[in-house]
Amino acid sequence: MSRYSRLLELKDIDLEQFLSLAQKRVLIIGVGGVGQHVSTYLVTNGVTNLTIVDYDKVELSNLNRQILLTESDAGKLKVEVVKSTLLAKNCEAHINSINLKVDESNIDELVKGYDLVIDAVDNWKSKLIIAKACKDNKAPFLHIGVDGYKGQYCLFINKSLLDIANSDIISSPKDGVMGPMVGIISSLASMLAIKYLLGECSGLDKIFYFDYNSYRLVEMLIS
Amino acid sequence: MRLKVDSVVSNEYPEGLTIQGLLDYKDIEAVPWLVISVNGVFVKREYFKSHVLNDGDEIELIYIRGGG
Repeated sequence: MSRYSRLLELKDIDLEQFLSLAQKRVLIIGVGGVGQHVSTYLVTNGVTNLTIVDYDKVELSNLNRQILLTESDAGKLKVEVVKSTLLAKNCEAHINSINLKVDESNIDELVKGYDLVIDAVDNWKSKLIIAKACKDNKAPFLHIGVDGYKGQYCLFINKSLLDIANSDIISSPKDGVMGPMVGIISSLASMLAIKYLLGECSGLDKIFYFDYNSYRLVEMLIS
Repeated sequence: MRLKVDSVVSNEYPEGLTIQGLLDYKDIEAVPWLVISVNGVFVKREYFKSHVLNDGDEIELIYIRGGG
């Protein structure tokens, strides 16, 4: 337990609740910039039962934001590199890595049985496929999106990403991204995920959006 | 009437504006990744033309992102 001693100094963290985090099953789809930040924070803060899914291989262009990679990982399967690094950070974790590109044919089976499904993929088409499966299977779904100097996250319980976005959004333009921006959004979303898994119910079915240029954090309730 | 749009308050707005009217007034295109709230509550796109804004409303316009 010494690895969690600083976390357990928090007055609002009940030990029994904290220990329950290890029993929670979390699926992270996509372990690029967002997925690597989120998986790191979960695994090192007690959420130790993770399944990670990705199909990409490591490229040097990943390194400005994908904090678990090194130059020598180039060409390797990303899920395997991420799994190995997460286990190096917490050997008590159980990491199931799946080398898979999600699509309509495999997503329903994939999302079943998890306490939380996290969308960390890098495109709207996949995000909408995951959102539909989570809605159909009543799976709690944390959506995260970031590029440019903006990003948002939302933990859907009674609502769905499909309430705010439809297939027209697939045509939206892509921007570049600076690594810390991915870190900002991923860190905020990780806080929400851990708090939710601890049993806190505030912040659900709300869009949280941060624009670095205006330094504006916007909160929207989906009623 | 007075509206607060993206944290900026102005009294310049005509009475009876709908959300779509506000977008037209400010020459903003309702692209599919534009998401809007009024007084902190998300408004579905299908209500942009019918949701009438009131004096003092606070409107946020955000452009959601798809990267990861």
